Amino acid sequence: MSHLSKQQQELYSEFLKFAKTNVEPYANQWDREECISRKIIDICSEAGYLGGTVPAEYGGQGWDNLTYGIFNEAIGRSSISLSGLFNVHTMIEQTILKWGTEEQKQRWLPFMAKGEILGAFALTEPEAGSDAAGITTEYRLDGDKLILNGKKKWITFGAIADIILVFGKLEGKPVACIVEKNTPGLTVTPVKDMLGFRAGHLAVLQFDNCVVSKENMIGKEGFALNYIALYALEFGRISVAFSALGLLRGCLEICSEHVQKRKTFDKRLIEHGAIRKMIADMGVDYEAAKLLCYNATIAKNNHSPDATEKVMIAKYFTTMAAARHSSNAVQIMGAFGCNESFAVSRYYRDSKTMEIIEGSNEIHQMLLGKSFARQFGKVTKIKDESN
Amino acid sequence: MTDNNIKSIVSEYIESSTNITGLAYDMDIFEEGLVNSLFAIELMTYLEKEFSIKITMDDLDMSHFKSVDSIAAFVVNKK
Repeated sequence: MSHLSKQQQELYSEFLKFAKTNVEPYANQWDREECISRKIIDICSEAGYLGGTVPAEYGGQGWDNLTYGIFNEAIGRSSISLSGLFNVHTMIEQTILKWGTEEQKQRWLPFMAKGEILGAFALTEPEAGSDAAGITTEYRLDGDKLILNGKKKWITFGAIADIILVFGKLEGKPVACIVEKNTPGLTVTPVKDMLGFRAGHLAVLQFDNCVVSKENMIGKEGFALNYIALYALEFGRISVAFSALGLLRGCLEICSEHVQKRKTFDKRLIEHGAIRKMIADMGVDYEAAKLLCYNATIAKNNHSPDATEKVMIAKYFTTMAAARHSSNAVQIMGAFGCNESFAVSRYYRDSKTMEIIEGSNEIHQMLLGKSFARQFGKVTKIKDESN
Repeated sequence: MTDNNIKSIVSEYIESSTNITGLAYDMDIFEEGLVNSLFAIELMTYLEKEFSIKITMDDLDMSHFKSVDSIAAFVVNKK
């Protein structure tokens, strides 16, 4: 039984066809040049994909979370770097949608949905990654304006984003504001030579006395880390989990074809036990990861209380599986897997990065370990009989 | 919908997430460490859907969500 509705199955076919035509032929080139082309972003915009999860009233497609997931799977199968665009852009759209005022929604969402404005998410700093509370970027109140100083690093699509959601502290309280790219005092420096996500337009953002309107603050003071960032990162985890699923599928497709064609010692590779085991484990983990990813987004669609945890489980399992099996894919493909003209070598590098972003897998272990212990342990706090 | 009905629905929701049975309606679910802010976001989304209310940034006062009693009072006030 498929977890996808007929409409979702049709959309998945459309997404795959789109990616095979417009993304796959160019992905290795983008990776080598460390640059996603503007042309593919425009093509995605015309297809309406930059507004996938945005409601129709703001010019988007109104996809549910599972549909957004399978879109990321299709794109991730062809280019993890491009999936990074949808990841961060959607995080900003969803943040504005959830926590923004109606004026803020009208100001940005219709343009983001059309791809006329690209968004980036700036939380990480040179000295603060997993420990987000340690950020030192600072907002200072100056009349009805905010003055922003600080530095953000490793910001995906930060080099070409039109608006950036910048997290910092205002009088010690975490806040998040939309900063436009042409703001005086903002210096954008592209980051090169990454292991993975090489074409993802990563950047260092330096803010020197940038003047930001108070009207650009999303939500209210004090809630930026525990609510705004966590809410946004959940969409990021959905994107990463499904993109890793796509990467896993890509490994399976390439390796499956190779092992049935190539011969060694007068036998096709698939006839060798060690190779067959690697393909079996790859296939089983793909099926398991798919179920976890589907299950997580269905839970989120239903607003289930355990949706957040299921999304974390999906991201944790799928990225680990992608890293393990892309390594095996390189092994199976031999020299082909070691050459950057072939997708497997790119998969291998990208998959490692996916274990680190949107909450490292060690952070997931800490949170999930505590949660499972609580769920399966005995609880003694019970209500008074009068309730 | 009565105040008690709301409390029952909210209590069931929290219990299903925390593996607790017989949650005290006045228990501070955050202070007791039963849930964290990630759960709070899910809770808010659930309340919006279940009780057809809209929770905005202005409602983000944790005193509204700290216990079954306070959540029920908040929902009644929003409806």
